[in-house]
Amino acid sequence: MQFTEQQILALAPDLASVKAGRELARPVKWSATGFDGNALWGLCQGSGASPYRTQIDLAGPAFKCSCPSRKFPCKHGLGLLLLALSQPEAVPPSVEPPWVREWTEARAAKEDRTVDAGTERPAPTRTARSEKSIAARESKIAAGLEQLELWLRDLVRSGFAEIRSRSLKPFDEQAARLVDAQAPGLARFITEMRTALTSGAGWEERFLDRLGLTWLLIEAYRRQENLPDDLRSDVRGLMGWNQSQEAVLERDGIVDVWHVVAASAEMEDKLTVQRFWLLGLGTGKAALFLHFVHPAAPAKPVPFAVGDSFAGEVVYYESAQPLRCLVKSQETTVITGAPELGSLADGLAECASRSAALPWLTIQPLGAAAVYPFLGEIDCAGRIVEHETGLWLPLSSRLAPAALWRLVALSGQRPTAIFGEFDGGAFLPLTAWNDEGFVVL
Amino acid sequence: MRDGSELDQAWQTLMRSALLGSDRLPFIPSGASEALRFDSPPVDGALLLLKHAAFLAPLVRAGSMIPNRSGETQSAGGEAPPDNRPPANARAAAFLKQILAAPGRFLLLSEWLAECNEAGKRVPVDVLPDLLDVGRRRSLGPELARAVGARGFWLASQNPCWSYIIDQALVEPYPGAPEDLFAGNKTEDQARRMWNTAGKTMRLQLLRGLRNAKSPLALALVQETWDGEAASERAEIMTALGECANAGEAPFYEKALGERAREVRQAAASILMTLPGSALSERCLSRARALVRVVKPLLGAPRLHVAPPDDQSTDLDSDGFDRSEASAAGLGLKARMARFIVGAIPPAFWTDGAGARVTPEQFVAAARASDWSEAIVSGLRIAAIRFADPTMLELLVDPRATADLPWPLNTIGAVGLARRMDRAQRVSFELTLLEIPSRSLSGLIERVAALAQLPTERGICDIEVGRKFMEILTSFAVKTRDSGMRQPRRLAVMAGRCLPIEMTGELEEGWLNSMLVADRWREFAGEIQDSLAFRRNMIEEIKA
Repeated sequence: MQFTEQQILALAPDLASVKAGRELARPVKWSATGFDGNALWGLCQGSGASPYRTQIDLAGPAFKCSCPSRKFPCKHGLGLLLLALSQPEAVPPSVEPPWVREWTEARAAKEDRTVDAGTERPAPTRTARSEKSIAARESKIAAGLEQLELWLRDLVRSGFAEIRSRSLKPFDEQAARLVDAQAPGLARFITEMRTALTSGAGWEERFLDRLGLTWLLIEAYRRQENLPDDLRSDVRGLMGWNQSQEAVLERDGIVDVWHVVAASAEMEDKLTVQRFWLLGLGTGKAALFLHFVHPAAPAKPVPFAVGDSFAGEVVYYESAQPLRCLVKSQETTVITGAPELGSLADGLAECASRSAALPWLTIQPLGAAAVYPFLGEIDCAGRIVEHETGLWLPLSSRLAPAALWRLVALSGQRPTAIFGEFDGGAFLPLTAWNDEGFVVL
Repeated sequence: MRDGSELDQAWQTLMRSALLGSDRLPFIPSGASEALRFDSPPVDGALLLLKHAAFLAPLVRAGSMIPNRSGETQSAGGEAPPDNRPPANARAAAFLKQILAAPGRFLLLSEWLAECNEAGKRVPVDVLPDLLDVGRRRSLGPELARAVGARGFWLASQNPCWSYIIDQALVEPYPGAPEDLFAGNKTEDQARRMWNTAGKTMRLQLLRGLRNAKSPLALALVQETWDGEAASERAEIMTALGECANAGEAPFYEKALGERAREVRQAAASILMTLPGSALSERCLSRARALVRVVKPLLGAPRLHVAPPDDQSTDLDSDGFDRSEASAAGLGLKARMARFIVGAIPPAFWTDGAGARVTPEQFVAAARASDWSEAIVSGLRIAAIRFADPTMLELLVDPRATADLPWPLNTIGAVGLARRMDRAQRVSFELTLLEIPSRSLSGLIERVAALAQLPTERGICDIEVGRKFMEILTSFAVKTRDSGMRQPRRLAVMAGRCLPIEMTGELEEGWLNSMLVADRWREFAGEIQDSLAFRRNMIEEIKA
């Protein structure tokens, strides 16, 4: 098995599938299992009369299952893969039965056709995108900005002291209009303004902050021709223009040994966005690799798991403060120790400097070498305290209680290296390590 | 950000205007806001406010990214003390995580903990919170306290939900506990506080812990609160005390014979019967002498002469006899009185002290041949269990009558008694339990549940018992193959937990194959197989 448990679980469309998959990762649930080096298969008795036929092409991995689930991969696929990982003897080497062979051969044939087609026809380039359609989108965005400006002006003219007592529907309508105007990135700013309204004590500060940044983006977009190229790319990206992966991969990357130091996940509509934080052990640079999982779409495997290190080339998206990246080449897996982190004050200074250069940066990597969690009074959100200096930062309310207690247990109030995400106000620890070990929270 | 700086003041001014509306409170730039210059300042107040919001928000954001200095940052517990034992390796920890993630596997927890302790290792720190959470709901005993070690105790001091582990160490002290928990007044105070405030289960555990430590505090605590206890709790307290009773405590139990609640009287009588020299045990002996006489003729086997008890006499009632109890075996009142009398004295009395010297085999044969055989044999069986007499237990392996044992000698009560048995006695006892015929699987489940509670080594049964268990199960499987009855997963889980892993080979070759004749038992057999494989791999990793 070339997969780790983390990699398998990263394929799951949601948490329920993870749980159900684990439950199915037991030999008793399976019969007629087999493995031939390229594919795994097995029969799983479900609620129906005949067992489900589950098959996995490890090259993808690609899944096929006769169960009626719309999730992809289904719990049977995940369960079989987890079973093969945890108890290889439960999936013995054998010859593919006809129902598996049929599928794998069809897949191989399709792959050949794709390769052939690829060699015959040059891949379409971005230059094929018509100038006309770009101009049309720009025009739609400009109209959307006009309309949003009017709405925002009205908003501050009448004041937002009592806005929470009124319907918040106008925020949803504005966001929808911006999506129609092909500015989905700006629509997210409006959604965040709406979220700030219901974020409890201190909402006024957060609302004004989002309002200020939204206006800044509008102004920046209108004057993008005056901006340096990298900042212009950020502004366009924030508005909703994507940098094509092909174009990014054409840029020069940074060759280093990259350590996958942490990962986090967030749901955006039905899409799960997984954030993998990489640290260049030679350069000290941080990079962010995004992985998207849609419950109904075949998931691509994540090329690494937290704790892995690999020698390779990482290329940043064009940005005034480059963080988001693609892995241009991943050569060898390297065994390394955990990365070395600096002081809390230094980490925060770096965050402040990034934020000053790119004010819209909401989530940043932050690590400190010798800190510990402190819980304080009940109902207190908790803090992360630097052992030597006593400096501290509030812990994010997004930190799940179970993760918080794992962190407390690991640290024992002794100096511990903690890496996580900083949103400008609070810190979300994601991984931690000391002489007790390396823990994914 | 509220630091009174020029930037803060500008931000607050902007905030006030934005909240009230630029029409009502026009925004006038001052302080830090004046740094924003325009070629031609906007005429519209709303636009001016928006532009300044766009200018100030990034400054406020970046400016607020400084760490705090003031405030409390040290917890009362200070740093966690060191624990010199190495943590179990990552693969062993993965097994523990799997157990904790699947409630169906919780039964394996005690084995994981015991193996970890035996290997001289401790629970990896990141698993401690989940383990301590599960430990709140399940009694894992001193193995848990030992396995979580110093870091576990430190963690429990940070979270009141886990303070039970500290109490646990008080209840069941273990070698290497953070301090000698039973020494000094402080500990006595802790025990008293717990006795007065804890729930029933914890109180009974405390009592057993104190009894095992031979602490006089146990009886003292019971006496302090006895009058205020509910009748149902009194009976359980009495039973817990009885597991390590001594002659010096006889006056307390004698007094309890006068209680109103029948269960309390019976529990007290049951204890007094086992205390040599107690007034009740003396009364029992004299009744036994009057009831049965062993006649040893010159030729032929010994015989019993039974003088039936007077059913009008009520003196047995004050010694724990329940006149109104219905007998499942259909015994009449006199027969039940005879059974009570025989069950109240040590079986050795008949072979050593009943006048004629006979062997246990001779006595049992004579009892079976007598007119009162059902009552006498049944009474002997009670006595064999009550006094943990291995010879008699073996001779009386006739499960049919065990179902008729009165409280507290029913299955669960017998668990307490089994604590006093040595291995051979316990195996015999377990076999007896399993052989009790059950009309339904639920009866068998009850027996196996009791088996799982017996104080066997790490909850794993003897191989002989395991074979008997599988024999019964497979015969059930064959008998019920066409009945469509649902196979209880719980029984399979318990079997997979209790059977020794040395049985894996013979299970796969024999027993489980026999089960497969009934298709409906396939999953059941698979569950057992799965558990055994899991346990075998788990133990290998812990020892690695």
